Amino acid sequence: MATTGWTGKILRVNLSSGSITTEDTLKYKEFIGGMGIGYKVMWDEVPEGTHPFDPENKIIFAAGPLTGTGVPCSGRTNITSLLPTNPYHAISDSHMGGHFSVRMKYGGWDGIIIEGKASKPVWLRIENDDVTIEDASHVWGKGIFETNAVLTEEMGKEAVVAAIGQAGENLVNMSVIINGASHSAGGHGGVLGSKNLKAIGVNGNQSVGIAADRKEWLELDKYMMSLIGANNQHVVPNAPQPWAEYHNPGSRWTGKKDLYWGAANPPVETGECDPKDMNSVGLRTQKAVFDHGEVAEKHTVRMGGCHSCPVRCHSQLHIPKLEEYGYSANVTNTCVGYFSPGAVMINGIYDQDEDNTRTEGAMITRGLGAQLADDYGMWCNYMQLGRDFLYAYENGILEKVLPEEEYNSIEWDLLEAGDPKFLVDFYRRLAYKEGELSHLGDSAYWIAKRWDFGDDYWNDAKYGLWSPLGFPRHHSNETAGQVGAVISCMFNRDAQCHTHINFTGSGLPIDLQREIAGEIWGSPEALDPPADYTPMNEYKAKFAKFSIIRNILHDSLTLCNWMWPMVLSPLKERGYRGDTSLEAKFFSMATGYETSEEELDLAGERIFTLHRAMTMKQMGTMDMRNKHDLMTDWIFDADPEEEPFTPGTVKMDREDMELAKTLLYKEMGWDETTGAPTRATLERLGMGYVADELEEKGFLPG
Amino acid sequence: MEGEERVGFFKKDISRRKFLKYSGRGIAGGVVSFSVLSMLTGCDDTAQITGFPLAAGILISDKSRCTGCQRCEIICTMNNDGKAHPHISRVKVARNYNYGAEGVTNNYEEGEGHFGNFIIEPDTCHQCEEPVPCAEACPMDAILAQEESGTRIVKEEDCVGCGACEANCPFNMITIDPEESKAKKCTLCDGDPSCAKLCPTGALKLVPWEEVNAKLKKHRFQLS
Amino acid sequence: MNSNKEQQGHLKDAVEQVEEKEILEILYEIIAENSREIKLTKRSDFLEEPASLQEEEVEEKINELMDVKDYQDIIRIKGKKDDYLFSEEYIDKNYGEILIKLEDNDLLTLMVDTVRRESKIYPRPTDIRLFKKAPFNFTADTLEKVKGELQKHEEFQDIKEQKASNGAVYLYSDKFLQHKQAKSLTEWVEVLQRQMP
Repeated sequence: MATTGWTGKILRVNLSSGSITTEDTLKYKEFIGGMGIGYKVMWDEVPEGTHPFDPENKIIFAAGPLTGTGVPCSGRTNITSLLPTNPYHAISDSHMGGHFSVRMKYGGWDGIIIEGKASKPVWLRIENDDVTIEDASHVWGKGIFETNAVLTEEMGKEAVVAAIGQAGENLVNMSVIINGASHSAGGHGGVLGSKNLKAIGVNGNQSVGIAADRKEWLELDKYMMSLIGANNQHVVPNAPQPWAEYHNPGSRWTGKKDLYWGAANPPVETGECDPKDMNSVGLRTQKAVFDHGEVAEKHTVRMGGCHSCPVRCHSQLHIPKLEEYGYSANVTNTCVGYFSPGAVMINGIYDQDEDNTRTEGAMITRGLGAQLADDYGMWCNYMQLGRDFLYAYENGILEKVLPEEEYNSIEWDLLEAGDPKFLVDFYRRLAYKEGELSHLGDSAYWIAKRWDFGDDYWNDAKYGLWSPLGFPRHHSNETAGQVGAVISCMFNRDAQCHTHINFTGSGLPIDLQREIAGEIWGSPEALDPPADYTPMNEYKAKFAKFSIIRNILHDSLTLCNWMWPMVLSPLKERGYRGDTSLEAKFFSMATGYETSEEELDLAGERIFTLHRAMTMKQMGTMDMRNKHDLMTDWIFDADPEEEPFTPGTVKMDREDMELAKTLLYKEMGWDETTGAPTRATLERLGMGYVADELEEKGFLPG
Repeated sequence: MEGEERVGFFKKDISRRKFLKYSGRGIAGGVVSFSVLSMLTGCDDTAQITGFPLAAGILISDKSRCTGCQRCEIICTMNNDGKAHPHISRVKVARNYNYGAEGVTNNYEEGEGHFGNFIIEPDTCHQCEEPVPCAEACPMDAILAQEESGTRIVKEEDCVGCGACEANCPFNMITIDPEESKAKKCTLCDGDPSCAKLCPTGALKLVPWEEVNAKLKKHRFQLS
Repeated sequence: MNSNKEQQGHLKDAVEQVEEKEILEILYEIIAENSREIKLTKRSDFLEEPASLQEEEVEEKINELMDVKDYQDIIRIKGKKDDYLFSEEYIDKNYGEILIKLEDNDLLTLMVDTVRRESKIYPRPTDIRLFKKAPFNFTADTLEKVKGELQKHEEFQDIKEQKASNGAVYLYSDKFLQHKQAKSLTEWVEVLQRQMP
């Protein structure tokens, strides 16, 4: 019998030998798909001590059983490999939306394992069962947009191409893999570059089947769609609406009367977007005005986004002024994809307003920068690039470390004038590794070491470093206090977890949020009011664990964690409750493996724990508490006049954060002293073999 | 937006039956006259929208609103075939998504599609009235006219999956399912197209007759 | 017993019942139609066509209307200038209350109630620019005037002003938000949130 949900096949391509083989997906069933498959392959096959750019490193592109089935917001691709920006080159995953993994599944593949290194530039062409390694000399050295056009022309217009730009080719640590014009996965571009693999093109005409009856499936889809909100699962509108009991200015549900996609022909009004109207779900999130302010309304052609997603979170803009810089007037991206190049303009932007973010100039700068970064394939380490540049600039480091000739060749006058043209030169230097300045692309940890940054770099909140391992805050202590803080300590880069921020950012009143938090995590104490924190408790640990586990499940199934889980809904008649069992229901119906919410969560725990074990091996320690789960000082030393847990401050307390770690370790069944998984836990998760290996290496706690 | 000017050839008190008949005489089958569409959607550009009269209302396809999510393709095949299979979807977006209907051109940055000007056209079956190229090509006479719904449907038991219909469709709409060797063609879901019902931006939209009537009324015309 | 007179009496009752039902239906239709267009219906509207009620019967008819099982979506709220009715199916109660204060031109209460509600329930300080947007639509002059009015009233002294580091002005009620929390949240909403998207 054919598998459903999964296609049942994983492709393995060895670029050194040219061998192309097929494997059974179901041997990874316990790891679901996506991230889970990625971690398992890496655990089994890539020994510690491997450098990300060694041929021995592997990179896994994987979809999950829900990818391609059409479950709302299921267009994500998970990429797993060693991470060059991490000081230990520890395992990490990068993810992209778009259409890649979906098209890969229609080609009949759940995943692609790439190993070895090609002797010359190649690209991988996948059309159903037809898989070939092709010469890439005609696209090597080219940007991502052109590469995409050339390879799509060769494969056919429905093909989807994931490619690296010059940054990945040149082994820049901070480089991305992109599919489509704007769907980027951060951190692993150089791994493809090191393998001489320019791109992977996928196409196919097969189906993804489901086990369930179609009527049941469509009913569940309809139910899920009744619970969906706007981007980030914000469930109340941004401004008062006739249908809405609540509103919140932080909400991405910006749709309202008299708001338009102003550059559409004719302009399309978002309208009031009543939650019950299924034909306006994609109009709720007018992301251009959310990201850029009102100036962007008239430039908005429409929203865009990923396959199967009714919530369109990428804004697609037409900005004629961009042509003056030699770039297309048409640009698409979202959120940090736009903000990050804006943040590289560390002296502000020429027409800056008080907060330098809502002007025409800011939008133009971001539109230009987004195209540059996406074409070269540069990553930003979640906006850290601009802050690293800022530190070096304002501390006079660049004058010291750059050779005089190079220093004088940089267009400082443009930077000082806030002229976005500066970005054209800046990104080129980084992507081509031109000169000393380009080491900014090595990323925070490495550049701080190379240029000898002071302690203030790490410990001043201004530079945003969360971890001494070189990654920034990303929905950290400012999001639900210890919950966001402890989540931010668990991975080998910024946590990329949105479960908790989606909940706290939903826009609902705090009492209602706390009531619902109580229903899910055992007590309203799981969530403190904003900027009015209390000490750590076990319910916060449960909230943190749930957030991580679901995030990991989403990256395995694959679903978008910027939308899922559906903890909340916009429906007043449901008391704004969503349904946390939906992932398990869709999983069961797609695969035919009847799986409860608890059972699926256990798979998430398994995957997260394997990530932990792999990281321990790579770091050569079991003392994760003191070697890995670290925070910089500003988190505790901000607001020097204030005590932690007093209204108005989000600073953390050192002892309390150690307790936060302890309680999360306890929830995970990890050793409470070291934070290393115990044998009992590993066996409970069906990973006795992991316990054996850790024990052999001396990393298994007591 | 003066009624007389906008609705042009429409006569007051035109019956729905007449309306169907009249609008059914557009190019290549049941295409609703542009003036009515423009009234229903507020869109002035003839290139943006097409519409088909159905039992339940007018099906509108509006490319100014399509964002390329392709939920329509999935819902179509889930509803009709019990699987997610965009290749055989009766509404086609994926092929126009990246670089527009023309595919990659030298000037792709300004052409249609995600890599260009972001315009994406959802292609729908024209339900050709006369001639019906897919039906004419079918050696098994398996494609039949369904009078009441105004659609052409494939009688699956007679279809041998030879692909003549696919080769002959000038719009590349009817498609052979490579897994079942059967031709898959839009039936408009018996007058209530699932693709339109769930299109998240209303790029595909079924405007019910009551609404059509109300709007015509507003412009001083009636469908009785 | 079955005299003609009696029969006529029954008939008359029946006709009246029909008329009763009709008038309630008419009232409901008026409210629903207005609500669909996001407009309030005033008690006084029922004195005009098409309802054309007499002043003395308005109260009774509205009460009857409110008792009809199928019309439970109708909400009636007493405003300063009039009684207002709307259908919750189209207008949420909270939004309806905003519209009522606008209709009553009671902008000071509207501002105070809005700020207090936001400080209390979310909690968050209120960006004064909110009042320039729909449905408030204050002009810059009106906004300044209403804000200035605040200080003149003893009972509104809980409403405080807080500026973000970029100069944006927010209001909060210190009945529900302490100063330090309000200050921190103002900075978060206005500045920091955008730096940590």
